[in-house]
Amino acid sequence: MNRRELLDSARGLAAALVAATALPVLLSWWRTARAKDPAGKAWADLGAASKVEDAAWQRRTLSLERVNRWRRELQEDVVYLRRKGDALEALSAICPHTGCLVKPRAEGFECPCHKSRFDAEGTSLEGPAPRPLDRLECKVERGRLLVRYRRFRPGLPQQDPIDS
Amino acid sequence: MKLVSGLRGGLGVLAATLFLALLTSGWGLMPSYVPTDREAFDSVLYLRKLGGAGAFLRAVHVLGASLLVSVGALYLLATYVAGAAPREKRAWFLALALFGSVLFLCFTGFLLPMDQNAYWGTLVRFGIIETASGVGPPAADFLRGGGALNASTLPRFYALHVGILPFVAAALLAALLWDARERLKTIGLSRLLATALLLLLVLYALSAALPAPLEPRAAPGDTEYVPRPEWYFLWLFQFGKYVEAWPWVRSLLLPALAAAAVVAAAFRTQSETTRRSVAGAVVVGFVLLTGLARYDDRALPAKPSHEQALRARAGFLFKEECSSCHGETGKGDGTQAKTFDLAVPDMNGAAFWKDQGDDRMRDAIRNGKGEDMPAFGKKMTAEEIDALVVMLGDRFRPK
Repeated sequence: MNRRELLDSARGLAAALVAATALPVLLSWWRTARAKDPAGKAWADLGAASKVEDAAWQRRTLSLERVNRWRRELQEDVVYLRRKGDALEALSAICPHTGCLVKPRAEGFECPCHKSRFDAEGTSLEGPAPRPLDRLECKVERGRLLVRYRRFRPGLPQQDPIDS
Repeated sequence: MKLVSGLRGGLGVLAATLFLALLTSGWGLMPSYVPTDREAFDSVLYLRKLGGAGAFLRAVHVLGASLLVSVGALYLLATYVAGAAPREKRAWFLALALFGSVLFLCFTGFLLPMDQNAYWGTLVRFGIIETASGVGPPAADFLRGGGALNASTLPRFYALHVGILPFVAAALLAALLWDARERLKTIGLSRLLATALLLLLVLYALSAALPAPLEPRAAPGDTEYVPRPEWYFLWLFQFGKYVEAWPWVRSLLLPALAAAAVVAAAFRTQSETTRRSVAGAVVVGFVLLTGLARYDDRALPAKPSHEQALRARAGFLFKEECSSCHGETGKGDGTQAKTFDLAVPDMNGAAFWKDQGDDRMRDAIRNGKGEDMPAFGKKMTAEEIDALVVMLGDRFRPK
């Protein structure tokens, strides 16, 4: 074996060593990233349904006990509620563009981050938002308003749920 | 051309010095930093309150990072203008990889303080990565450790920031310096080290004058906060506004074209005039877009520091919770005060402050006092009560 051949084999061996050390690391990072947390309680109790009287959107914070990786915790999320005739409606405050929280304005909503605007139905009016604000399922049980809280990936024209 | 080569060498020495300062200042921050979403902010705040070398090194770290990005970009630009990219292919690619790892270090380090800026800025950055159709969402999940920011995000960023990327960057820098050893020898080791020492002292002086910012604790329910990118990415932010309808142009096409262009620079021999025009266009584009972004944001209110926000909060709490009895001026003449049997004490008088320690005051606010002073321990956090005590002393205590 001459010097050249020795160098070539050393190169190959070094590459194999790098691959053998890096690959399990990458797989470990990938595995922990793809792990889904168990679905927590789906429906959040937002109190007496009769308290939502207004036809204009009102901000409410809902708290749901969920699993966040290695710990169980109370997570707080912002939703907007309104009454439309007999029905109650709920919108997630998460902007479908990059995930900031929208705030109400005279008619509809505005995102503070990139100035996406939405009308009172949550439809995107102007700005970079790729889809309307995400509607959340509501129901009234024994006088209590229950909202099914879900999160969807920002940045996409379609709804892609994040949690399992 | 000689001027450009000289400038390039100077920038290289400066970049290496900044890297050394960032590495060592990072070591200074590590013993008090806790990389969990619940404790990170308070551990940074602790270091800030403690002051001294820890707080100083945080300023070195923050300022040094910002400077290294600009110096690195200028070094690459000078290398290109000097026509060295095709001549020294290996050095060009090593420098590009080093610059990339520095940007990645900035991206991961940005989240670590977990203040408002860190939280919302990182949230938006992930939102932007996700608009790069196809590759974006899996890349975002890999970095973030899941489909949304979660408890494992900060440990991942910390691992990249202190455990992986510094090794990569140090190895790339070592390779660059090794390749340049003959050129460095002609300059002389003493002269190089003296320059590095001088630059380090200048950085230290600047850092002593510019304490590192810390905004209020991340508030994930905030609907008012307006995050903005670091100044060196404002141009991209501004460019994104013009291609709003096609977000993949900003998130995928432009980065891919930029990467292709800098790689291609090593394989094309261009005339000096061309190189100068290209570099000029890059600088003008950067300045113009940054200026436009700043102009668009001219009405944006300044962001308060943690301490400023807390002071404002204490003022608000005094007005909302205390002034109805204690009065706006602390005289004890609020509208509710008349309904009590005992007089509400005048906080402007020396008698009120006699034997009044901070502990006693905190206790009175938290647990109430006598028949009329209610307990506020459930309405206010310990941090807010502390801020209120400081505010009352500043505002009412006779000098």
